Order: sequence, then C-alpha cells, then structure tokens
Amino acid sequence: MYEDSGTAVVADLKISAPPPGAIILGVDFLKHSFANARPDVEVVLNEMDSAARRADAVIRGMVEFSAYNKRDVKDHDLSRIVEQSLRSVESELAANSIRLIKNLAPNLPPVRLDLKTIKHVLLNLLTSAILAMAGGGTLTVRTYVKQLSEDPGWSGRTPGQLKSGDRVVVAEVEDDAPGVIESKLADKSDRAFPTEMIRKGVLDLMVLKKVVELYGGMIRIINREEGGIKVAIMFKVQPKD
Amino acid sequence: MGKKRILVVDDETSITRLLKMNLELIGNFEVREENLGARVREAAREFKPDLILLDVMMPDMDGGEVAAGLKQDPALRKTPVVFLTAAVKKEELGAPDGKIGGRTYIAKPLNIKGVIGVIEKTLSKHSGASA
Repeated sequence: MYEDSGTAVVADLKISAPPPGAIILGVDFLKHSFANARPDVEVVLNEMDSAARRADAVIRGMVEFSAYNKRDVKDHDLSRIVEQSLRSVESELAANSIRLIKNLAPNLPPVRLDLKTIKHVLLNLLTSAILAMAGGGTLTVRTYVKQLSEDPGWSGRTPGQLKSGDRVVVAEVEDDAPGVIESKLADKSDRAFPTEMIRKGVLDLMVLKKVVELYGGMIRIINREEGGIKVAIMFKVQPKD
Repeated sequence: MGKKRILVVDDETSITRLLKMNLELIGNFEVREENLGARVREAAREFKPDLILLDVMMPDMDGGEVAAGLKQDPALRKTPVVFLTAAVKKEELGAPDGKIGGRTYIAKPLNIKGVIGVIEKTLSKHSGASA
C-alpha cells in the first residue's frame, strides 16, 4: 500500500512539477536585473528564493525515499537499527571530533517498520547533527520505551496514529551545536535567535515526518534551551501474539 | 579579454535558458544551450566552448557517458567539464573545489554566484595547466 501511493505521487512530481531549480535561477536573474530597485524588491526575491529552495528539498526528499519502493515491513529492534546507523557514521564522528554518548536500551519490544527506510531516516538525522557540529561537539543517541502520557498532537497527528496511553519505542538523536531548527515541526523556545543561527536539515523535516508516519510513528523536534537540537522518532510497540 | 564560451547541457530547457541568461547577464560569458546528451559532441565541435557545464542525469544519455565521448574526441578532450548534479548535496561537496573522484561537481539547486565561481576557478586552473 505504502509504495503504490508514494511512488505514484513521486512519479507524478518528477513528470509534472516545474523544477524549483529554475525558479531559483529566475530569482537570481531578477536580483541582478533589479539590483538598484526599491529595497523591498530584494526582500520579496529572497523570500521567493527561500520558498523555492524549500520546495526543492521536499521534492528531493520524496524522490530519495521513493527509491526504496520495495518495502519489507516486519518487526524490528530499534536499538539494533540505531546501532547499525551509528556504524555508518563512525568515520564522520571521528573526523569532526564529535564525542558519542550512546545509551541504547537492550531487549526493546519490537516495532513494525521497514529496516532500510528507517535506517535512512536515522542516517539523515545523524548526518544533519554531524554537519551542525563540524567543529566538534557531543552527540547523544538513546533508545527507550515509554508510555505516552500526553496526547502527542505536537506535529499534527493523523487519525489512527499514536495516542495517549500507547506504549512506544523512542530513538533520540541529540546534538549540542549552536542554532535552532527552522521548521513547523520544531518546538521553538521563546529565546530570540538571529537568522544565522537557523539550521537547515539535510532533508526536509516534513519529508522525514511523512516517512515516519507511514509506519504509524511520530517525530518530535525540540530546540534545546541550552543549545542544540533533539529529534525523537517513536513507533508503537507491537502487541504480543 | 574576449568572452569565454560555455556550453550548458541539461535536459530541462528552463534550467539551460535561465543559466544562459544569468551567465550572460552577470558573468563575462557567451553561452550556448543543449538539451540532448546525444547532441553534445556535435554542439561542442561547432561552438568550441572553453568549458562545458554538464548535467549528470539526462533521460537520453547519462552525463558520464557524454563526458567519456568528449574525452575520446581529439578536438574536445582538453575541454574542462563541470558536472551538475542533484544526486549530491552541497553539504556533501566538502572539498572547496567541489571535486569527487577527480571530477568537479556543482550541486543542484544551482546558485548562480556559486556556478560562476566554479567556472572561473576551473578556467583559471585549466589555462594554468595548458600554459
């Protein structure tokens, strides 16, 4: 079911959507053509450029995930998937002098998902954190089980997804890099932050959210008060047969 | 100094048209567009570009294949090729010269200042090497 609808949408996007890259180049042209125009023209063009780049990131993310059109959904141990994903970024962690704090719960109850896709989501989150901490930092990765005590409607819950009382397995990726995530999905603290402190993810977070939701899961992004970002993905524990 | 000639190859006509308009407006370049990989060699022989901007993924012919064809042509084998690709992200092009495996890449979506920077750097290296 997942692959049919997802792939059809992406195929349609590839064929019929105008490439945002062309809009970005068009904006570049207008910026130079109207360099001496009234100052708000540049503001408008910068907004257009930013919107087109965001659209580009969404399309790119969807195309990237559609590559996994043969999904193999079965029960998995999320700690093992996190462990495997961490192994793939070991050299990047070392190259960027990033300290890893790993706290993976053993014997987690199984969650139902496609290994390759969720590994890809985790790799995106890890890479994004590593890029943000290029000068060094601490990456904390943990997994655990918890019972949802609140209605997790923080990122626009869709029907049939997690609700209060559900037991979930959570994987968290936390960094201490400066800057906050600019996204509708992110909890923004009240602290003011300059534009240059706004970080972009490797892939658009909306895409990651949709992918996680395909497996009945949820994603939560928190801009930490003390600096850095925490991203949690969670999936419902499968009931025992 | 005369204008440098750039052959821009991408299957998206909107991309080649806008690249041409930008490069001619902002840079000191004369640009020709080509939208079919299979026609690049012929276009390059006719236009004699100083540099080719070549899309990696095109429906009729992959950019690597086009580049291999150019390398086999004695008249074109020294023409520098810069690849345009959506398959790598700007963050992945860690090296300042954007090189991966000896090839120069520019990540899409394209930013015209970035494109001009890579063109100028590649042309200056190339003229230094052939001098």
